[in-house]
Amino acid sequence: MFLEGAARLLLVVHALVGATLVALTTHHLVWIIRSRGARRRGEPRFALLASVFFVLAFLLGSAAYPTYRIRVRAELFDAPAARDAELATRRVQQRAPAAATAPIDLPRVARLFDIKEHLVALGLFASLGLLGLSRRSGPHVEQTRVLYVGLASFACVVTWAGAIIGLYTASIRAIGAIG
Amino acid sequence: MNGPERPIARPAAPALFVVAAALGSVLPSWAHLPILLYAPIERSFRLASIGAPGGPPVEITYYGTYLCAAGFGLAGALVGAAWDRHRASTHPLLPAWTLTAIAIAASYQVWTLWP
Repeated sequence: MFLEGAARLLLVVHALVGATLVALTTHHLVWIIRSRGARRRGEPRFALLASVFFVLAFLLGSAAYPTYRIRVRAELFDAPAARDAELATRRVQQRAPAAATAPIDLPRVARLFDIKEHLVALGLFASLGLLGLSRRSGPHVEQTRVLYVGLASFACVVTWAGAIIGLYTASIRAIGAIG
Repeated sequence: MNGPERPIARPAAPALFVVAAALGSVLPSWAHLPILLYAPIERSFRLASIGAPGGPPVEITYYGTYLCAAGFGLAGALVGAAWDRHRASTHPLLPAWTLTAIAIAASYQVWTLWP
């Protein structure tokens, strides 16, 4: 499969780039809001860095995606045999003396991950739009301030959502699907 | 840390890039446009609409969808650049169009995929 041998490395680098991206988009948004309409010379640099890291995260995630789609989604989340095995484990867990927590529905996790993929791709376009805007305007220009804050907010929110849903999905195999 | 004065904003190119890319990301699924579909097991591409019969059991629509969105985005940016060049002012509703397009595209994806 495409780049399957490098998928673990790609995932780790994707996570590191993603964490940096969360920091960058958050910092950028806070800087825009705190500027209160004033000009900040370094602000377009944040727009550039956020776009570069968005593109990097997107490329790394896309390179690892075929492996996720087969090895995780098809073989675990969507496969009836894997689901049955997971359900059997849950039943044993629920009969155990210790209180069992609610089980996780694996196909729902797969769909949540798909939503994350689409939202983050839209965030990439918002970030590139913001980069273009930062070269022609800025948060200090009244005419484009709403657009500027809107695009920066969307980019920030989807990177947070992407990081949280990505970690949640990765945790299914790391710490199991119960709890 | 104030910088030098900047020229008056001409945001049509980046704004229309975002509008077109957002709508371009929805069209392949909503309007059944043919896009590139990737079969990871067979390592092959085919040009077909999402869910078209005759495909392998596992097919990735993501790459084709966002290639289509990027193409729409570039076309939107070109239209916006031409608008910026020929119009003295920007349409006052441009920010609203842009943010609404993002909201529509995001809502569509959440609505169709919600678990």
